[in-house]
Amino acid sequence: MEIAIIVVVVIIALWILIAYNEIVKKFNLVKRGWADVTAQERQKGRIIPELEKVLKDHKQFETDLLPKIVALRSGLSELNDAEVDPSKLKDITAASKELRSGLELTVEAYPELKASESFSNLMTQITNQEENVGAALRIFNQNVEIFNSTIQVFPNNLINSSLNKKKEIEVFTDSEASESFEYKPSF
Amino acid sequence: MEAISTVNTSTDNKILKEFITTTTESLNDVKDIHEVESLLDKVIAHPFKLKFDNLKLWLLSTFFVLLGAAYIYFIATTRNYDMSWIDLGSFLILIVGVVWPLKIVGKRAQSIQNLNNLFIVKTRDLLYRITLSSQHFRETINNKFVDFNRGNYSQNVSWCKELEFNYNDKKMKVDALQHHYVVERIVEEKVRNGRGGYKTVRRKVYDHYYREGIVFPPIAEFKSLVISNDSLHKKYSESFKPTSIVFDEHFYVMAESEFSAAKFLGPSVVLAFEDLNKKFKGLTFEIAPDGSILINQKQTGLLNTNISTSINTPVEFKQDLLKNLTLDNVNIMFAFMNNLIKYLGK
Repeated sequence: MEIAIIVVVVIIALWILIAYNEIVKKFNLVKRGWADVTAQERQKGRIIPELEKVLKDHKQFETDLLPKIVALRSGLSELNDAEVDPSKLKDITAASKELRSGLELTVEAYPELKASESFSNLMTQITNQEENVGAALRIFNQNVEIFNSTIQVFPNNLINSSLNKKKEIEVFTDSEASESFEYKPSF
Repeated sequence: MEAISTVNTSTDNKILKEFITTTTESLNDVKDIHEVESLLDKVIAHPFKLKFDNLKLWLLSTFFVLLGAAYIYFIATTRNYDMSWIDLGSFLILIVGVVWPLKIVGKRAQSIQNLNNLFIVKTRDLLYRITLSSQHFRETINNKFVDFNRGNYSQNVSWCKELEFNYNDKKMKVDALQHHYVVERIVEEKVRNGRGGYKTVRRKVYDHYYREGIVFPPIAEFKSLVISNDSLHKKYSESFKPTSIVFDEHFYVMAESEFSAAKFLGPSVVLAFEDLNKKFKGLTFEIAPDGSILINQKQTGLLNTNISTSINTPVEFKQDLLKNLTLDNVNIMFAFMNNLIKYLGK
């Protein structure tokens, strides 16, 4: 009888240990996912000086694009790897989109810019970076969903509330994009 | 139509047989898709629409079946199934009389089916520019990839074919292949020992497995990297886990350099792998030390087409072949490689 009790206690202890570690592991992956997003966003900062160099001879750049570049720069400087905060990312995404649409308008005004190889390379780099940021965000959101499910399901919710004490993490949503939909899910 | 109706059936069948033979020969020699098209037009214009008249053969076979039944009835009623050697000989002749016409019917149907398949294969080969792989490729492929290190008994590349891959408005020759490996295992069976009991005997059984994939030439500076659903032979010492939980649940990564693996597996590439994993089972993506790339998986029929019509409806068949023929799984691998080239910036 005593052996049976010991076996049951050992099994429960092991199960708690596994669930505890699972939550820790997934939380760390969410943090890593966030660090990847910020790292990908910061890649944009490397293009800004090159962009400024290519555009400096165009008047429209000074008036229209410079404020957008400044906004993007300041957003990037506020990004924090350690703190998972999707709200700050929204400002950068918006600034990034504005800069991109501004660039497209500038190109229309300066046909010689459109034909320039260095500008075309920069635009390709920006597109690739946007795709990488988008992909990093998708991975981050996937990880967040898996983490949130892990701490919500029974019996992990008991272990989390008493031992890990992790809170649900907010997924990143592009509010500008979702505003264009008429449909709003009621969760 | 009047002239045709006066030709007798045996002549019709002979003409059709000759037509199938000559069309098959012409099809074997076609060099471009227009030649296939003109042969299909001939099939469409053929007065017999590739349909043999098998009525006489069916009647002959049925006659022998009835004769056999009558013979059995005769033996049963007159001799109570007491059969002599002559009866057995007669039965043998009757069986040949039943089977032989059916065999001719089957052979005729098979000749049409073979022509149907040849049309599909030739169209596929011309559209995707499929030819035999080079001798150098065939000689060097067997031990090139870690993914081929499977099976404890034997492994080999059963077939390989060269095809054309388009990317960034450029063309590249790639090779589709089938990898075959055999696993030997010992099974224990209980058999009767002749003394009313059982004994356990051990015997070797051989399980055959097939994997099909595509080998691409180097596309970037990356080398010595394996990303697989399976935990393969550990050729490279470094491993790497990207951030994605989904990716980590499905793939093992093995590389010569962890830095190189990290550089390769950027967010867009990781997601491309997750998408590819939804389409194939037992997936392996491998970059060999010389930079050649293998995408391999365990579903066979990689070069099978999506053609659903047959030559029995030649007009629809022609349209299906020339307008709708695609190699779905090859296209998925090509799309994945196009994405990789875009992300890795060749």
